[in-house]
Amino acid sequence: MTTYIIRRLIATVPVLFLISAITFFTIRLLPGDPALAILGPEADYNLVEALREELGLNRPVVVQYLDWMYHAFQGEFGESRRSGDTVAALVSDRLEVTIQLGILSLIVAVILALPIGLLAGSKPNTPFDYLGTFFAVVGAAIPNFWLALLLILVFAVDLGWFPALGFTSFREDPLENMRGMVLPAIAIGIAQAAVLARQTRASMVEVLQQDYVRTARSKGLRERNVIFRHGFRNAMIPVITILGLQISNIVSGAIIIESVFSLPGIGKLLIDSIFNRELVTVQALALMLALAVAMSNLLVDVSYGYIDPRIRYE
Amino acid sequence: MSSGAVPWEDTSRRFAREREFVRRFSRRPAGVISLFIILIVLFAAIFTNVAATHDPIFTDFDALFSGPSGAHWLGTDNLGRDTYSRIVHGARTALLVGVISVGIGVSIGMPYGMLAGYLGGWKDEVMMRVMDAIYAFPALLLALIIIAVLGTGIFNVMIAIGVVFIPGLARLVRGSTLSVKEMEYVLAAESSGASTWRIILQHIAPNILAPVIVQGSLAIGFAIIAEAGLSFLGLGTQPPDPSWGSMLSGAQRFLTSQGSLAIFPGLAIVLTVLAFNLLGDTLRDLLDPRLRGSD
Repeated sequence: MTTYIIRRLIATVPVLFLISAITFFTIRLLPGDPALAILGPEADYNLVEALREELGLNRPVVVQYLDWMYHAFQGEFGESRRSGDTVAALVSDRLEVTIQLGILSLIVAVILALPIGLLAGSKPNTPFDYLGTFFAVVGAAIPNFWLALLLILVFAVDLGWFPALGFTSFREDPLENMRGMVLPAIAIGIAQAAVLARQTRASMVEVLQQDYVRTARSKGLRERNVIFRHGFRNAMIPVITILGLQISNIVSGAIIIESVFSLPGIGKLLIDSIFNRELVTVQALALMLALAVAMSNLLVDVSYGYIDPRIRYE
Repeated sequence: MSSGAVPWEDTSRRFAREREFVRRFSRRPAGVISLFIILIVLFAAIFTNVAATHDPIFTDFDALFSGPSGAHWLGTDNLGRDTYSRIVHGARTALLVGVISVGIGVSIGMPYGMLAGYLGGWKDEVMMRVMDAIYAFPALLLALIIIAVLGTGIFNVMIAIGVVFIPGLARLVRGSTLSVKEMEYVLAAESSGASTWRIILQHIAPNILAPVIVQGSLAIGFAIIAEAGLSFLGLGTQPPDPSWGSMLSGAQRFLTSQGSLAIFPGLAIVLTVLAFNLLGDTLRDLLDPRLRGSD
């Protein structure tokens, strides 16, 4: 197992470097001058030149990249021109919100998807299956921001059960914090639940056709034991891979949903930074989010190796 | 018979295969219904002036927030603009972004994936690691980085979403190329001295189209949601031009008083995306059952 983990870690290193290079060079090399992007197209030539000098844009691009990486390794991503705060400080203030939202969305997705997929997959071609498949197909076609608006409309505006906007820190008031997080987490979680439910159903159908399940049934095991002990546990292996991919989708979801609910997280900071032409912040956030996704994929791969021994011996 | 002529038997067999495909497709209700919905959306997108009842940006201050009526089938918004006509014009934006961005993804991702798969060895390894790194970026994040640099607007949104598709398509195409390149007709072309690009374009590309068509159909659905999302955030289609996403963004401001404004543009997105997803699923089952794995 240790060899497998080390091999996966080594394989991740070049990808991490490529991620940093893509983040840096996309912003530096795409048509358009970062200094002009910050100051606006009608900015004075001398001001643009001064900013180019300040940002070090007149140096060779490889030197700029190495310098940026050197500072990034030390957690220094520069300063926001608008607020004067360091990007690291801006991020640390908002990280808690996004992590909490991400975890809650994943919980919503798993809580909904596993029972639906399990039921649909263990009773194929029954009304349970049709309902489960309907949920999976429609859930994947609903944009999370529209679902968010519908949830606000019903549960915040009409019923008044949850707040429509705003954020209360967990440390300040845990109950109010959770009330504010329920709707955003559902808005992100439903689409992920749809994908997970579909995969769980497919896995269950396949596993329940295996010989060892037939043997378990012919031994006279109760159906519940067959489904949970022999079916569900084995069906979870491909589902976990999909769960890894979901982390990337949840980050995408958080970017847009934080803006809908005015949650002060990383996603909202990113959108605000794009509108305010804070390219230094955009660059830093892009790097952090992509690295976080790559690292969580690595964790999923490693846990996959634990669950399915065949993987690590390949 | 000239060398370019197709033997009669071959033509007949080809049409027989197409007839068989149409017959099998027509037996799939989900595929037929979704194709029907897509054709309606396509009609609305092409013949907007016929399908729409009003000018989508005409503001009628005598009809602010009016409910559905004979004059305004789906009511009007805060500026008195006709919601139905804006949805019809939004269909053009949605399909245009869907088709062009998938086109960008296919036209770069497909040759890239074929080249990597065909070349193999360390070149394949390096090319695919670059794709892995791009793939590590959450889709919306990647699109946002590109928009942050290129600027807002519908044209840049098409490029941004198109780039998002490249790594996924390249991976898919590479996988298919690996199996096709061992086929005898490719080996025969190699031994006759054909160039790399000639082999890729003439012998490999036509034989890996099925998964690309399936993926392309599914990707259009994703592109429509992505465009709507970016326009919702104010980064895509700019007001007053109609887009389903920007209509929802406008509706959000009046959610407490005029909640119904948020219903119809969202339904348009869901119905269109659902149609493309179901069409993609049906095509996958018919063209490339190996890709199934989830039914």
